[in-house]
Amino acid sequence: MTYTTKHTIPNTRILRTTPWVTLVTLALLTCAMPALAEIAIIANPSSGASSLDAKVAKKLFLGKTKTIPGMSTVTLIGQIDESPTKAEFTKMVAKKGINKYKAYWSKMIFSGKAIPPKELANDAEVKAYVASHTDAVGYVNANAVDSSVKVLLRTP
Amino acid sequence: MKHTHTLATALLLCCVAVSSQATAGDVALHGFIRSAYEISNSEAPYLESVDDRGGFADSAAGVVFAASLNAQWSVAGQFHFKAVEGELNMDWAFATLQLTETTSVRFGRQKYPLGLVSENIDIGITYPWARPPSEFYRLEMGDESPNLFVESFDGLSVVYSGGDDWEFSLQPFTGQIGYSEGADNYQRQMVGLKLEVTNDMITLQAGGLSSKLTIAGDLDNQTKVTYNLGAKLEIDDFLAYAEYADSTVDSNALFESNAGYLTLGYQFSTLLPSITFASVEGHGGNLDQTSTALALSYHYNASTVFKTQWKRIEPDDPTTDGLIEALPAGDDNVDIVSFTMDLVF
Repeated sequence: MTYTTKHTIPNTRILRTTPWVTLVTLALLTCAMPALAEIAIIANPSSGASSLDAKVAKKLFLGKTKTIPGMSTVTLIGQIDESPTKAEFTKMVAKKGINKYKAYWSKMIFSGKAIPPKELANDAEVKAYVASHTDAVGYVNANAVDSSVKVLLRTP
Repeated sequence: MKHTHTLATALLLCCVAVSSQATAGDVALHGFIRSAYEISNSEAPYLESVDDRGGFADSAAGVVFAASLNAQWSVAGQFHFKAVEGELNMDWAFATLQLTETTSVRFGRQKYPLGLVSENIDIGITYPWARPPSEFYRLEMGDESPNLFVESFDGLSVVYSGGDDWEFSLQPFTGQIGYSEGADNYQRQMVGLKLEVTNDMITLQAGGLSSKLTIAGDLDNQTKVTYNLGAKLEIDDFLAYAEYADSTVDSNALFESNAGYLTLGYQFSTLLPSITFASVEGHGGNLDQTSTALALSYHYNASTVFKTQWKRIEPDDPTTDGLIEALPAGDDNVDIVSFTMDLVF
């Protein structure tokens, strides 16, 4: 009996404290997790495209399709590897980490299969380029979007 | 060795001429640098270049240009320097005609398409090895083995692709590869087909190639047929490659051969350790060897990868010349250590 009692008391304590532990753990995890930036695929306001399916966006930025509904020619605009927006974009849209995204495009480039997106330094440069080129499609952090560009897709 | 450059040179001139129609900003330029040091513990050279003196024979560099001329036409080409050749070459240069959203035709000098990494054999950031398994991929054109050679060919190919979550591509191709140097003439007229099915995690490939050979000796006017199968898995951080190829030359059993390998790896953050088992059999047993390789890749950043690799090669008959020359008496295996740095820009 003594043996059983000794083990019953700590177990009861665990049960009583579990909700608090769970709540605190969840709160800490929530604080520790970086907020996922929302990515916007953008085009020139005068382009014929109005929206973009996530699968088509992925194919477009992986060089597997060259056109989208409403645009017969597309100039892809990307961002440099150091850009935090690119890191989010490769995960959320291309579904690859940035190293695998780079390796994928290297295969395409060095076998002549596709021309990669033109790489600009940051959201502001991409937005400015897209705003001044009717055939451009790029991606930016959704917070950077304004009336100079048209949003085709927001993700997630 | 003097490669036949005629078609590639003509295409390059066409590409440059046509590219001039595009503005400078429309021409994409990219490059790669591969620095590779390899040393073995034997004086017998492996692949005619790696021995106990060490060297940088597997190093290379290249520059690619590409331009989209309009919605239908694009051109691309690559200048290539290989340390083992010691000269600058036009590795490939071709024009692409996009017939429909799913079908395109390529004209010109193109990378040989069969094999999972043939088309990007020099781009080290795209695979886990310091050097792709030489039992399967080989720098020289080898007609005595099933090795999927990594030279480019002059000809045309049609690429038809489609699908959604599972994508597929069908690529028939035809052309020639060869060289001539004095009386030494080598030509290979090829017809082949590549089928590839892929999704986010799996790539499956099957291919077939028939080559008519023109070369002095037993292989003259013979037809070599090669079949290959390949699979690549990328499931989260787990990575696997497996390929197999089998070749026959008409009814000449001496030239029947096969090769294959299996690679398993796991990505730990920026580190990718992998292990590879490979084998090749052929040429009446002279080529027979197995190997085990341990490699470690370190992704310094998205564009730069450092690798080191240890590979033990065990020829079935160490006294004959195969991929490695006959070993000194008493030796039955060779260890090769490699250090590489691969960079794309």
